Amino acid sequence: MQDKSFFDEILGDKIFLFSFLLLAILGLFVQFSAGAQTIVSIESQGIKVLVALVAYSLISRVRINQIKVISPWLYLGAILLLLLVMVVGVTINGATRWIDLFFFRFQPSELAKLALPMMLAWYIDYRQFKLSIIDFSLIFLAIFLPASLIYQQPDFGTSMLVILSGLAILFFVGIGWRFIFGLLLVLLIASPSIWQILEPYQRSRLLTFINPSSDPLGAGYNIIQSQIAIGSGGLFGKGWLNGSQVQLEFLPEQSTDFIFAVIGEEFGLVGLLILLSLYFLMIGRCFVISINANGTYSRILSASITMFLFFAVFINIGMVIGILPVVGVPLPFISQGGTSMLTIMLALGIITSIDRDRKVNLE
Amino acid sequence: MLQENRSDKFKNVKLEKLIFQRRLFIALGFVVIAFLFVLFKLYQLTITEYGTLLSSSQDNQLRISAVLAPRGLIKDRNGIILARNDPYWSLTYTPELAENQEYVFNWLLENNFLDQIKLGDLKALILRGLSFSTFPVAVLSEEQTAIFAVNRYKLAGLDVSENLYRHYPYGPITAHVIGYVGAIAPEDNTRLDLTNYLMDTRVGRNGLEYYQEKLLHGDLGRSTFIVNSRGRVIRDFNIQSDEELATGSIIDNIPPVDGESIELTLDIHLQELAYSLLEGLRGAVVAIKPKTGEILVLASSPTFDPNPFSLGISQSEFDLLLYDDSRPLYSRATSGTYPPGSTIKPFLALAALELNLIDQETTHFCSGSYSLPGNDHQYRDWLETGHGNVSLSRSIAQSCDVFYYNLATDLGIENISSFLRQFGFGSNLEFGIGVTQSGILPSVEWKRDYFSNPSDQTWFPGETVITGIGQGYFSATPLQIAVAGSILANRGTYVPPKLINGVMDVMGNYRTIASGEGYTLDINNEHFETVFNAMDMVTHSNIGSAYSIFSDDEHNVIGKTGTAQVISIGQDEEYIEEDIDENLRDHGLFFGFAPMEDPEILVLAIIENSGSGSRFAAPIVKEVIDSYFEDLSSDEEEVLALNYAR
Repeated sequence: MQDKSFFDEILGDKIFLFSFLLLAILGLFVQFSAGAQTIVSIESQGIKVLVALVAYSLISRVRINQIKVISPWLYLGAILLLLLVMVVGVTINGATRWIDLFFFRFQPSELAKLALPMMLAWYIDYRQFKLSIIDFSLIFLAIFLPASLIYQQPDFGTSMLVILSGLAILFFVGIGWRFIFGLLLVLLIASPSIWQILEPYQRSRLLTFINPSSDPLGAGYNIIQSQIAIGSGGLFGKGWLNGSQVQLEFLPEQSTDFIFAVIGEEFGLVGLLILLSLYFLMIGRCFVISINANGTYSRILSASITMFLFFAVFINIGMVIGILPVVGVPLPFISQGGTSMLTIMLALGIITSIDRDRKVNLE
Repeated sequence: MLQENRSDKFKNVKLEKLIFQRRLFIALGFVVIAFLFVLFKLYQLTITEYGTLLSSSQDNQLRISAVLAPRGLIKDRNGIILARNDPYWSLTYTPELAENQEYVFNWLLENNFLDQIKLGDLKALILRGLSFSTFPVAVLSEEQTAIFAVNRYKLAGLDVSENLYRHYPYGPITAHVIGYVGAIAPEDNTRLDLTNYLMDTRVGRNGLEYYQEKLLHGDLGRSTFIVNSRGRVIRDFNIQSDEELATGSIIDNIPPVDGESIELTLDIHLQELAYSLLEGLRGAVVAIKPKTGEILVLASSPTFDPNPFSLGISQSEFDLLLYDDSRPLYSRATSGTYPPGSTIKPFLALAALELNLIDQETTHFCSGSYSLPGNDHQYRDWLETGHGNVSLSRSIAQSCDVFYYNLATDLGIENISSFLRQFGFGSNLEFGIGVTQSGILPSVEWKRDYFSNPSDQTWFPGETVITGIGQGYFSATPLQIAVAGSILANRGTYVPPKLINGVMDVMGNYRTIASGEGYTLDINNEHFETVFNAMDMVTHSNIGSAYSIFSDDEHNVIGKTGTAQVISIGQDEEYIEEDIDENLRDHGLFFGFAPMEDPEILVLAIIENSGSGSRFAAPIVKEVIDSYFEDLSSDEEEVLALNYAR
């Protein structure tokens, strides 16, 4: 591997870059249609895409060992910032998630998303893969501390993502099947008490997931309207800027959480398949890097990032098409907003760095 | 393995990597399954459920609003409007346009546009509806409209809209003929196509409004709009993609079709006159043109004002009408059944002439009473002292009962009923304006069918006797007697009565409404002459029962008086009016037509409990006939004047 291409050198992984750019451009078009339909309305999103691209490129050039070294400190920092949010956080729509840094609003839960897998990978590597029951307890604590801090902001979606990617790590370090099924059993038994601690809006979301038509104008409205949008788009869609569900605002949260349905209505099943292919390409690429990754830290972290990307995509799409309950998570790269896109691009930067590390070792 | 990391110092590196890779493949399998699940669901939505979801998306955005067509007008024979649609102002509220809902509601309360209860109803309605919907608040009086107009600038969200309500300029005078309109009732489901109506459309509830609902209502128009999720109308959104054209859901406007106007045969001036003559009386007046069957007057008294029904009458107001002892809602002219009394005598005379039982010379001796052979029951004449030897002409002129007791016995009940049936007695003259009754034309067969108890089914000869003077079971509606009189006046030709001259649609196309088939009776014309001459004596001979009223007659009116008994007087009792309850006193009847040689108009009047027919009924008939000819000559003068001006 003597000749290093421009992409490898400057921008990182070709597949990530290709998929990301296509998704981000598609995202801009869809946001144009779902929003005010002016260039100004998508300008800031365009800037965010560029920022994410630069961040990706920078991180991908950092040696993985350097990343590894800062992992515990990053995690500690994330926890402290999550605590700080509780004190000085900015409240928007009843949720306290942000710290105002004057030039932009920083969301510590996004940092935690990234820092948790890094921390766990570092710890497992540090313990040289020999994990006692105490280690497992510590790992659980490391997962549920940020998860519970995020949950009380409240941000159910992000805390779910954090827990899922943490549990995925336990799966990858070879935790016994008995343990996995035991955990599922505990969850099943605990479900009534979990039900008790859920907020009323979360309960109604779960209920309408089971039967959306129970409250078609209330809690079930979103999911019914998004299914109508996707279904009425048919095979080829109603055309860009031509989806009646979108243009007449029957579709809720159409620039953010429910943007998948906009693509369905205006670009049809074909558009959705292209979108899914791009995600599958990215996730597949992550798998290949994970399989080949060197060292415990790299393996664990890359696998975790793989699953993190998958969960982010699947939970959003599953919610919009009605196979999962409504959880407020954005569709990666497509939904309006820069924070989650930045987080995922940083994660992809790390996984690219892991891949580079392998190639360097190969030489 | 070449790529083994130098930092992997522990021994189970291979095992660790093996476990990791196995788990990674399991995770990959999970991811693939999840993607397949998503694909399956997307296939379901976009392919399997495409049709239903596409129509759901169209249902979302298409709002159909119905446009009510103005109800058809009703006019009299001269084009004078009897039922029209007048505007009224109604206050509406649109929440999305309101700036301060609390202020608006308080203002409505303070100015008595609404009370607390109605405001509560409105709030409940708003909670259920879309924010861009418009809700009705109240019907405004002229004064309230003015108050609102002054304060309008601070009442964003409120608006005034113009609606139509049914107005009857002649009110009570046309109430029984035209009826009235009211809210749709549950039973309308079977007779009306309710998809052609709005929830609050007023439909005909009685009379012509009810029976000609289809003509008058017209067709609902439909405007289809595209709306957004808040119900605001988006006009410039282009929905007509190929797909939507293919599924037939293009935006369209179906204009409403106005109800058709109905021109009646009624002459509102004569109708007005009839009502003024009926003032304070209970009874009916019917005027008809024998040659054409056109009904000029159809009046029932007492009457009511149909106008309060249009905007919704209160239950207490309605109960007042419903439980009034004089029954103002009851259309006596078409539904009231009365014994025809002596008005039947010319018909019986005609029957006897036709069957050659009598001729002009035949006389019967009237001693003041009549008995059947072998029976001592006395059938009295109204004149206790008797009329002596009575011929046909005198029997009609003076209305001798004994003459007709004899005639009835000679004719027999079967001859009487089959002859009278040809004049419309005993059959229903339904002609599309409301409930009509058929009355009773008694016969042996009728009695057998009518009574269930076998002992009541036998026909007695005595019943034939009283049928001869239009009493006993015999009953007919005022309209029936008038129609029978018309056949007589026409010398045996029946022209079905009609109330509707024609119908005109919005485009001005006029069409006549066919009435039923007529017929001509096979009766010797000379016999008509005989009867007419006898009836001429009623009005013009100084022995005639109505001579005093028609002494100054200019139009050659001939007719017949009648007195219908409400109760039968016992064998030894005497009928003393003052001693009898008012509503048990005799009904007075009179029918007359003119001119005798070629009758143009026939008028019948029945006045309940007024005693002899010559007292109230005959003067009314005279007035109406006189007025008819006066109007006619003044109309002719107008035509002459018009022609002269031209």
